[in-house]
Amino acid sequence: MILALLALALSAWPASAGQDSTPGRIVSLAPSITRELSDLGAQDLLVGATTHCPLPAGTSVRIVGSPGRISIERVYALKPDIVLASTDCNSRADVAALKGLGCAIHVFAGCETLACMCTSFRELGDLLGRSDRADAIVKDVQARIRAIESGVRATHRPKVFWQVGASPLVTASDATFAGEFLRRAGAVNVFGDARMRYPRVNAEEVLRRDPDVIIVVSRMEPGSGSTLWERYPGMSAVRSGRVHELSADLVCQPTPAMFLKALEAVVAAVHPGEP
Amino acid sequence: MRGPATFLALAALLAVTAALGVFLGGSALPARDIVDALLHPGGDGMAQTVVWQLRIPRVLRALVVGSSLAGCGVVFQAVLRNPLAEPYTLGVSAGGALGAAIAIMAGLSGIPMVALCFAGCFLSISAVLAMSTFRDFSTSTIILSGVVLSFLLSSVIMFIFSVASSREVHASVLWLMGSLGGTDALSLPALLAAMLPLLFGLLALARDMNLISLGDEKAHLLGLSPGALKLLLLGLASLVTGLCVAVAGIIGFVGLIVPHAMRPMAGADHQRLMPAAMLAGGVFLLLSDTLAQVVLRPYELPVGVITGIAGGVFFLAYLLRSSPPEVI
Amino acid sequence: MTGLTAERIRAGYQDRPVVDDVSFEVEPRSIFGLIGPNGSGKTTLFKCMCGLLRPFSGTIRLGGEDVSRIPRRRLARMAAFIPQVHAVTFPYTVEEYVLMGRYPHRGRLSAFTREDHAIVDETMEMLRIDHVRRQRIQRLSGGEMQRVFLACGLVQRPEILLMDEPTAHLDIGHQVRLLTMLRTLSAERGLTVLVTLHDLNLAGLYCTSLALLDRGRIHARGTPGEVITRDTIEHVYGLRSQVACDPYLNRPHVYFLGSCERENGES
Repeated sequence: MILALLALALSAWPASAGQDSTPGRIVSLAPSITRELSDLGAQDLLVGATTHCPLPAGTSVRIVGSPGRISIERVYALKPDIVLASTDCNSRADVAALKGLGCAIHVFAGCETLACMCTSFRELGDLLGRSDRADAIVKDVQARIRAIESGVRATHRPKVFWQVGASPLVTASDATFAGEFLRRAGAVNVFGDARMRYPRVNAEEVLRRDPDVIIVVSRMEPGSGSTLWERYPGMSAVRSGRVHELSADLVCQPTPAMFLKALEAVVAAVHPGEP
Repeated sequence: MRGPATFLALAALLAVTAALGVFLGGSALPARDIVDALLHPGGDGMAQTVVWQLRIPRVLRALVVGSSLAGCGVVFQAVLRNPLAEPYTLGVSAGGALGAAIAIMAGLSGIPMVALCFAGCFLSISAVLAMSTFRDFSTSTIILSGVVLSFLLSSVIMFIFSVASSREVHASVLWLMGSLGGTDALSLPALLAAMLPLLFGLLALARDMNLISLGDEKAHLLGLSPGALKLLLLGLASLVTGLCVAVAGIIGFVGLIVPHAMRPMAGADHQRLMPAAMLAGGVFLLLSDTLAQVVLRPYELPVGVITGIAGGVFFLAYLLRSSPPEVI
Repeated sequence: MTGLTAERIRAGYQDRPVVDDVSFEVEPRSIFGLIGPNGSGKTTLFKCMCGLLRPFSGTIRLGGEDVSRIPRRRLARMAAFIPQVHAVTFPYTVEEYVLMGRYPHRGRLSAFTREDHAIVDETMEMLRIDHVRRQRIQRLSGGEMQRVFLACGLVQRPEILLMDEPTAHLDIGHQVRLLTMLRTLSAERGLTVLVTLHDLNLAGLYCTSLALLDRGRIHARGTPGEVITRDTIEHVYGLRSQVACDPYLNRPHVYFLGSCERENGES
């Protein structure tokens, strides 16, 4: 019963807005968008954001709800010039409701790849009339990523197991942003070829594929995710102490700037002791 | 009734499925390696680790959880005098789901999560039984309280999900679908230590279950105290169910189908039905779990999918067979 | 040999009394009939005697002891209470069901002895349900099911047997056979029997003594000849009748003539 109800709650489809002049009052319905606004120096234009959006202390930005459940009234009451949503975390129903009230709303497609993130970012830049700045940031991020990639190209490519959930055990295939991190960081995803994006795997198979590094993405207390593997000292990753935890807040943000930061963390885990 | 034949058959089936569970798993290991690992338990080799640290505990966990759920199904059906009752009827699963959702939101895992989940189960059944004291544990009060509590708790869960991030919701949903591979859950010896005394307790009460299934009046007239007995049986069964949920999530259908399937074979007398159902439940869940691991190897299906499909097919067959069902 | 006495019972549900000031005595080895119209309080009284309902005041004594003080299991060994026929949820076999009557004699964990099985076999034979011993209860006819319920009570080896409306849902043949058997049991085994009955003629024929309930109170008490009279029938049931006493059996027989209210047409 519970499961069926949830399945309805989380989907949206792209819609386009009409906006000619640069907007002065923006409501952001997704944390990633809020971050991108900050990157573009447009945080002062923000009048409304969600509970999960990173906001500075003492801000006057009004909270309009959680990404999955927006208070339509609050958004409307803020009289925004534009509302920014994402298919990743906003619900179809909320978007439709806002459109129905006549709000100008722009929906960004959810991104799993860097390319997509850069395109979205540029799109946002265009929308805000800050295309140059967006372009500069994207180019900078891309350059730095290229530098990282060339840095790791020479070294060997360790096998990595990317763990998303502990119970049940879930990993990410190459078709996800995690897969892209690993690829760019010069690593091999032991479950890269999976047909599903986030398959449930059996612990036995992880043991059999014997990764060199295990990266546990968790929102949990530090250390709790990796204790699971300490029970199998025979594993290469455990023997060489290469079980790392990365915070989900770092890794799961689909913006170019965060992608870079996360990639740096992944590289540090995968190729320790290298510049 | 085919006397010992049923039990012999079940025991044989148990041995076969246990062997199957050890030889088949999430990864394809050659049988030779497995036999070698079985004969030489010590050592760090991959086959040894897989067999002794992953497969055998998982087989045992499936057997314990499966037999517990089936046994509890029998108990709930007897006490509530309803062949459609099952361990989650009284809201135990909703309580556990709430505990799990809270744990995931708080970023807990491992023992704290198991504890929170179990606490949820425990509190929900306590609430139901407390509400039922006001009406002397009449069966209809118990059932109604359970249904009401289920709805209440489900609403709370919905609320939590509405404010959680989609990642958290997804993690909760996956957890709730049930999994026997949870390697960070309660260790097997701890689980057995908690479970076995409770299961023995229930087995010892099999005779009382016969009486209580005849109705409160008849049970009273044959020398029992129906209210106290229902409290004891439901309390024990709910604790067992709570442990199962805390360890393996919500695995449905086992507690409903297995008693139904075993009643024609072992008879309605609970002194035979309980042990038969427990054996059969262990076998059923173990087979389902093995299948769940093997079908999409190395990727797993949630075991609830297999038990659900099996359950649906079973009931269809049951309804369509020529002689009408005995119990309505 | 145990008798039962009811002393000034006042009982009912939720503060409303259904029976008031009811007293009677059931002699050991007799068959006592409790009769009266619907709603007169027979079932309420029956529940009090079983210990299922606590009377507001008054005492029920079994063999001199206050029923409410006797621990349930011992009570189950002294007295067998057989409520009206009701549905059984699960497909127990006749044998399994009857065997449950031996539970009060065995602890939770002790196995049934050969004696238990012998008692069950003997009782099933006597009640002629031996041939259906492996059948599921739900598959039996009304008469067979009634005998199974009775068997379950008899294997308790009680000293006193109380049955609530045992003849409901039975055809006349089965009614007569059942009451005959009760009479035999009472005579040969010294069983004390109390039955609530609807049929005045059967009650008059088979019971040693009777009590007639009218709206919660005892209207008449004594031998069948004393209780079943034209006047009591008219007073309690509102029916006109002719009561004859059979000279050989010394038992009353009622011929119902009609209702007491004036009908269009004739007497």
